[in-house]
Amino acid sequence: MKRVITYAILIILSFLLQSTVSTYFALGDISPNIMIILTTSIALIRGNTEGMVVGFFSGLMLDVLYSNYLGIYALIYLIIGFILGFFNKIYYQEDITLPIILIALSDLMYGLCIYVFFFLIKGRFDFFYYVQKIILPEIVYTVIIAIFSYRIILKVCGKLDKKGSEDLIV
Amino acid sequence: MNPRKKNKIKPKYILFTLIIICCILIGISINTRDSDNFIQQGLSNVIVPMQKGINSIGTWISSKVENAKTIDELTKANEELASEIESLQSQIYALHNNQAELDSLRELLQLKEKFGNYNTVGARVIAKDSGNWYKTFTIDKGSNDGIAVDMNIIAQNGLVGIVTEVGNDYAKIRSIIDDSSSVSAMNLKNSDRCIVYGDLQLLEKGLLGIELITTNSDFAEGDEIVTSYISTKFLPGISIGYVTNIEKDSTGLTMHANLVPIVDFERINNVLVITDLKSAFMDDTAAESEDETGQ
Repeated sequence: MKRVITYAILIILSFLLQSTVSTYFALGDISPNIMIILTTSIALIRGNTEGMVVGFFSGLMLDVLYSNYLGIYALIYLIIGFILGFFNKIYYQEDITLPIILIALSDLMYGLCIYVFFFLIKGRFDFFYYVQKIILPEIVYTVIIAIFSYRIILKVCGKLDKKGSEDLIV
Repeated sequence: MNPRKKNKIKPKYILFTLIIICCILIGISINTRDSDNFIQQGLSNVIVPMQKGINSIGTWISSKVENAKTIDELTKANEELASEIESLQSQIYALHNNQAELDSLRELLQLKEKFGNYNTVGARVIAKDSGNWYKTFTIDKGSNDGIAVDMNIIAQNGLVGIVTEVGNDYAKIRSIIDDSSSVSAMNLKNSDRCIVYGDLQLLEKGLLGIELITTNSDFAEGDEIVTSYISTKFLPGISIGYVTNIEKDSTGLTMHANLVPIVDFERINNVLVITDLKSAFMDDTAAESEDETGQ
């Protein structure tokens, strides 16, 4: 139960940060994607079931508040959480390079999904423009933020484990 | 890592269930208008106050960052602002002149001054869309302050966007620079009609797109574009921006151009909501003309 509440708080917190504070610190009109950092980190630290569920609810949050179609972001985050969960097997806590690379990778996946779902179907074919101007800068910025926030998430997860909270979600 | 893994449901079943839930949600939301979506409303009501709170922290931090700027930067900014004030003042004079001219012309034409003044309510921007792909934002006034869906938003005397969703204490606005926005507009000079649309790629250069200009219509660089009379959602006569880069399409039948918006979308903190609705306007005019025919 403690884990569920912690995740809920983490999701709400990162959503709030992303929608308010991060826009103040946007560089070149690009803001970092904190939700993806959360989803990827949880998926890496805890495996694909939890990554998937956290991703689903993070996405749902974005859907409910910002998207016209409920469920699209949820689907994208869900799949990212699931896929990234597989890397849990080759992951160990002391290493920070792998998580950072994977966060970059999942932000890339996210960018591509948004491009395909929302822009390609509208006939915006200039793919490289979007890569250059939005996807890549977002990845760079997200990675910079990830270096700090990943450690925080890791610490929170470590605390949860230590307290022997065995009642896992699902 | 987890001793109870054996007892758990396999991840792929959870994945399938969640994917199915997503698909159902997408299906439902495509078929219903988002304004009467109660889940969205409910959650927004919980989240928006928190956003307001955090936003004030954000403003505080960024004000501290501003404080840390050097005197050089500030003096430079001051100079820029002073010159801006000058240009604005000259604009005001020009507008006064235009207004006088307009009044006299109206008198000549005996036009009713119908579209001159709209009722407005001020509001503060509290959150922007969380992603980098869309240009929507949230303001701190909602249905409690009389805001309704489809109301027009202006700032700095130009069109900013339109209300797409309203809660008790917040409203969501799609700005005209959003990639999915298009506004029916016309040339102020000769009422030639066109469509102004947002494009992420043009936005990079601070521009919007204009299309559906026929080759025989008379558009020139620097013409002022305003919202048109035929739009169902936008009130007529609100300035949008100025024409630039006119080019012929490959078909040779139409032209497209770019538009420099009046509003500085980088710096929108306060906006005005026009509380008159175009649909109400149209009803009024219909009723009036009925009266006239009745007499």
